[in-house]
Amino acid sequence: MASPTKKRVYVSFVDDDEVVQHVIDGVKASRRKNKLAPFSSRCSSKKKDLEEMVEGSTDEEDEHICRASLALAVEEGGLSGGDVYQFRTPKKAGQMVEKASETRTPKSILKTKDDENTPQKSVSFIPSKVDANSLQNRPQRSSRKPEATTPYRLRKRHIIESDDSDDSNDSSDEDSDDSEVQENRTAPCAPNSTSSTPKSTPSTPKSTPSTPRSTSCTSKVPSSSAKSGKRQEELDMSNTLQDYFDLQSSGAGSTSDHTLAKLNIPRMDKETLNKMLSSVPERHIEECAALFREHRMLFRKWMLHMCHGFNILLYGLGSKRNLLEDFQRSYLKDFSRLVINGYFPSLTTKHILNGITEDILQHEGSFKSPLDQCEFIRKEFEKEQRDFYLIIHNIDGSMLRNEKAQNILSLLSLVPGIHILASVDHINSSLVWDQTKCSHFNWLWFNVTTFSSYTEETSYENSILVQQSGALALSSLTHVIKSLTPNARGIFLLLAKYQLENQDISTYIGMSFHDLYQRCREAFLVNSDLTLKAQLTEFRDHKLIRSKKSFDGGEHLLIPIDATTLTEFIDHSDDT
Amino acid sequence: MNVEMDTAGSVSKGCFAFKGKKKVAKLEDYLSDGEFGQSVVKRHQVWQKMWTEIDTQIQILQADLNSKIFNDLLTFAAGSCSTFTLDNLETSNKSMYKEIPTAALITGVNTPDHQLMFATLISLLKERVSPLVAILRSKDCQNVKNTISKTLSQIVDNSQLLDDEEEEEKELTQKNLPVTLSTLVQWYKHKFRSQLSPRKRKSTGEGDVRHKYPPVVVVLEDFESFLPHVIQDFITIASSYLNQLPIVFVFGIATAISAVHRLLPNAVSSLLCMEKFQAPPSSEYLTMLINQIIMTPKYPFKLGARVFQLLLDIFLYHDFSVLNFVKGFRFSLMDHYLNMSLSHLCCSTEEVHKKVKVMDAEEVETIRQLPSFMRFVEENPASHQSKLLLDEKFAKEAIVDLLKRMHSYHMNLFPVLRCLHKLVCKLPKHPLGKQQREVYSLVLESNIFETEAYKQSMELLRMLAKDELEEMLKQTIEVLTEDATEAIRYLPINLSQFMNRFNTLDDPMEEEEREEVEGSSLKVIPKQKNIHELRQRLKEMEKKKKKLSPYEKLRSEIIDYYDSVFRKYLVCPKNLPLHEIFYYDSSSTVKKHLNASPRSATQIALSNPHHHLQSINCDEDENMSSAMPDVCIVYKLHLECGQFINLYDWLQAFVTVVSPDAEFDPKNPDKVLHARFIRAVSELQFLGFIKPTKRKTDHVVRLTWGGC
Repeated sequence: MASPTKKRVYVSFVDDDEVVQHVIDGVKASRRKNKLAPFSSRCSSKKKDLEEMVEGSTDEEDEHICRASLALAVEEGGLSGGDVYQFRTPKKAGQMVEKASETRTPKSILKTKDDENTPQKSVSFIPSKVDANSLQNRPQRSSRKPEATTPYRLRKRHIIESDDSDDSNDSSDEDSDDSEVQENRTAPCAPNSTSSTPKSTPSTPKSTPSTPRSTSCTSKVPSSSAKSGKRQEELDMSNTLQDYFDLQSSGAGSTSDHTLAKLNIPRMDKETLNKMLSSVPERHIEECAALFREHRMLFRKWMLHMCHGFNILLYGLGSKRNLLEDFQRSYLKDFSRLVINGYFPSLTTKHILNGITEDILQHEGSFKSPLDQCEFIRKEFEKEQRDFYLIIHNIDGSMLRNEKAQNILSLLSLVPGIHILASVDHINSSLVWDQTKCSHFNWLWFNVTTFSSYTEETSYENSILVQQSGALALSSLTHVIKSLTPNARGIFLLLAKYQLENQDISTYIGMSFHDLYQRCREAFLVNSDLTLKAQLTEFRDHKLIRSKKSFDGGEHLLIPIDATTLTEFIDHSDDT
Repeated sequence: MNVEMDTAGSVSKGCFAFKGKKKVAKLEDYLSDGEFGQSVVKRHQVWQKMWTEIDTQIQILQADLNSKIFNDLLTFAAGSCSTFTLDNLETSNKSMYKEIPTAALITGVNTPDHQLMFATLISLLKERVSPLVAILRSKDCQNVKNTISKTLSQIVDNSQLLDDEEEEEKELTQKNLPVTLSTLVQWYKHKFRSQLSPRKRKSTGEGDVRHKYPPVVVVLEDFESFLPHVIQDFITIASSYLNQLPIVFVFGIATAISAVHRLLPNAVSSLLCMEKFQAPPSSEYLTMLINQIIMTPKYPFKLGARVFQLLLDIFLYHDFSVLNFVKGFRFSLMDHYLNMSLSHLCCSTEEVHKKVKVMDAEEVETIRQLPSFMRFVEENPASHQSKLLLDEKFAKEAIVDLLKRMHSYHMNLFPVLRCLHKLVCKLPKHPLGKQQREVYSLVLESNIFETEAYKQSMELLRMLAKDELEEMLKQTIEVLTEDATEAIRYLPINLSQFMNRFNTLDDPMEEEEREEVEGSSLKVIPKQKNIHELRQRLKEMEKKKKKLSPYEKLRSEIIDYYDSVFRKYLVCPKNLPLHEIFYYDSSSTVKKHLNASPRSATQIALSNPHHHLQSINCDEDENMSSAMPDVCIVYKLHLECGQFINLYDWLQAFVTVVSPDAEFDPKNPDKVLHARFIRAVSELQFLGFIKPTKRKTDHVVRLTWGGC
């Protein structure tokens, strides 16, 4: 093993026993002081083997206690649980802006900077021996086990992954990719912490110079030379803890105070948004179409699986609506079926069950409870053999998320002849089922990533950025108002006008009941506070007003509608 | 109804029903053309047949599994109230009935399997003990009234005992009377007293004493989740009616018997007379299942090492549910027959001949393409090779031969495997695992006799004491004779010969040995002057002393014999020609469909869109490019943020990425870009990565950590 460095290499004969002795001492030393005696290259290679043996044996002991499941470990190309579920990592203010501007600067420059950084960093931190070792390893970076220089976090990953790589050869490529990814990511944070490096850091104007994180960062690098897995775990843990508390202490103040009000159009209304979006050319059309075609190939399989009593669940990024619609149109044309939009904001299980009993089974009459209805459906379907398909877009939709709805659906899935095809999108959607429900549903999962946008699905969602045009609210408001008595209308208008007058006061909590009563009396709208109270109850039932208690216990009344809608409403009602 | 009706954007409805003409979907319709290959219909038949067989086998197993415990429980339930009579109510028996007979059925960790178990239990109870059975689940019993009404309705509704005339009466009972246990007592009294006299006359010949006063059995399926005060009150009430109503409780307990004492205070639990019944744990059921379904030559379809391990791991690490294991097995079976074009050959031995005969040239060619067959061809002498590859008839004969060989391999594999398991299961540290399934999965993976663990266990076996070895020998002989086929009948015979030699391990030989040793030791001791030489001698002596005792000799002989047997029969199936036809080993497929990870799929798609969309040249793995879909860019940007994200900054960053060249006015970004940003953000919200917050104006909260 020839070292690529210009250093002189000593080669001397060393007895095996001595090597072992040396290694053990060496390991101990490194654990204590992070200092290693210089070895000849031959020795170090031997040492590595020995250490692997040592590590191996400790691993075995652990394994005896709890064998890690290899079969359940993530496949190549997948993410391991640790990658998906992590602790919060501290982020600096402006990191996003920096990241965005990175895409503007030519990448090659950044890239080389990073590459230069890494060796430099290691030189400055790690005592000579490890340095030599690392330089030796540098040419074989892409091989299985990057040794000393990689930060400890990486190394842990690699140990795990190299275990995995036994059963899949492909993963080794992935590994090396990963390591570079990681390196690129960790590298930029290193310069911040190492103010001692002579190199000019790829500086960020907003970066905070000395966060507590920098200390933790420095402590990490030397620890990477310590080889013991257990110790690393400890360090890892303590670092994670450190990070965690740093994060907690820093609080939430790390974002800038810009608001959308700075923009000329702070919020777009729904119509303009749709108009704008329709003008956006669809991108990646061909590839999306190819993906779609690929998924279409599965249709026949779905039918087969459903014939065998499995139910189909689709997941993956992108709207699966069109796919399901297509399937429905091409394969289920002749069967009875029920299409359910799970994302529909006012969907209830009653709708679903009624859809089956009334439209499909043509049963008139009501049921005591949804469970009874389920029972009825089961009996009906047991009478004769027939197939019925439930197509549920977003079974994890907001209205189906509750336990009751899922319980009903799982009971339906148990009915012979009822097949369910559903899609999920929310990342935590699997949590809606407990074990029993899961086994009732008897899902077969299919990954159908389509990348198409969730136009329909998000159309009901109140996006934060879209200005609530209030169209819906306004129309319902006028509807309710129309059905009121003139006096009641007057009361509401009074309240609304008062609210508009006071809209600039940030501490406005509503009109006090007493005030309202006074004014109403003055306008001859009510004759006693009881009538007013009765009227207000009606408003409250229609969710037109909300009442709050102020600090002195008095009741204050507020119309929970934004100012613009309210103005429009008042204008509107003045006209009529 | 209009089929083409748009179901997407309706603002008034979320459900759309369509009535179709077709009633039943026929499997065959979806098999016939294309995709799955020509022989799929043939394959489908084989698979259907095999699944039906396996399914019935599983049903039988299920019934068998709990039969013992159920029998005990049923006898208990039937016997507990046998002395109950209504006749002499007022006199003596007030003192007799103070405790409610209660069966505590310990079921182990709650799994979906339990529902099945209780369903069987109840049907058995109804059939054999009493028609009056009520099952209560905690979710139906939020208060005492619910509990009692549930009990009442189940028992009174049960029409098995009711004749037609009494039907009306029943309804009366239900509607008009208050929901209390005394109603039940009245009903019970009315029913069985009035019945008693006419029945007695009618059915004296039958002597049906058991049904005279059937007990009222109340089954509480998930005892631990009941509200304590509800269950306490219910028990107290029930106990006060005990002399008028023969009540029996069955508690389904998932954890331990101590749960009863945790839930019930002493005053209440003293009203119960409990007996414990321990149901077999689900792992035992699984072992049975594996023995009967998988580790058997009965069904030619076999799981490969990886799939087997995966299904086992899902069972052991995730759910303990045998139902799910069966589901996985079923899926594998189906997938195998669907995708392996030759799998119709995976059938019983008798059919092999017929099936191979009707194979067409194309199929033979596919067989020739199989890697394991190629290896087989290469091992043959050159003259055979060309014949195998070219001569169809010759090839077919070879195929039949190979398939039969596979079958006989399975016939011999499992007895020998069980024998190996018997030997190693008690070794210290269990190098080959404790369970048969562990040994089996090792065999599936590689040639077991080449593994380190095997060598280690053989070493350990060579150190066994005599009585241990004798015991093991006995056991293995038993195992081997139990299901021995023709081919391995000689094994137990040979082993019993070893057995016999144990008995003849007698003195004469040992004495010889001793003499020899003494003689040699005499020779050594004299005249040694040099210390160095003496040491040398002593060392030699040491070596000589190691000479084996006759037991040790026999032992090593026996172990060697075992070893040779294992080497012969426990070959890894992967090394056998045509194993592809029988073994299903696509663990990634099974995993994808049964144990999917939707969240990581979504995150991968978001962070590496180029996995799916090749046109984006994202060779710079971490960086964003404007070619990516908007939602990916927005996602990547949000990863750089802490708990809160400023929407304004986010928008600016987005615009920077998407239009890298153009300069823009931060106050007035392009409207289209703005709209695209809005869409992307609301998609992220829909996916659950962010949610709006009121803590700070125009901010959203991040809901996930990590990600890449």
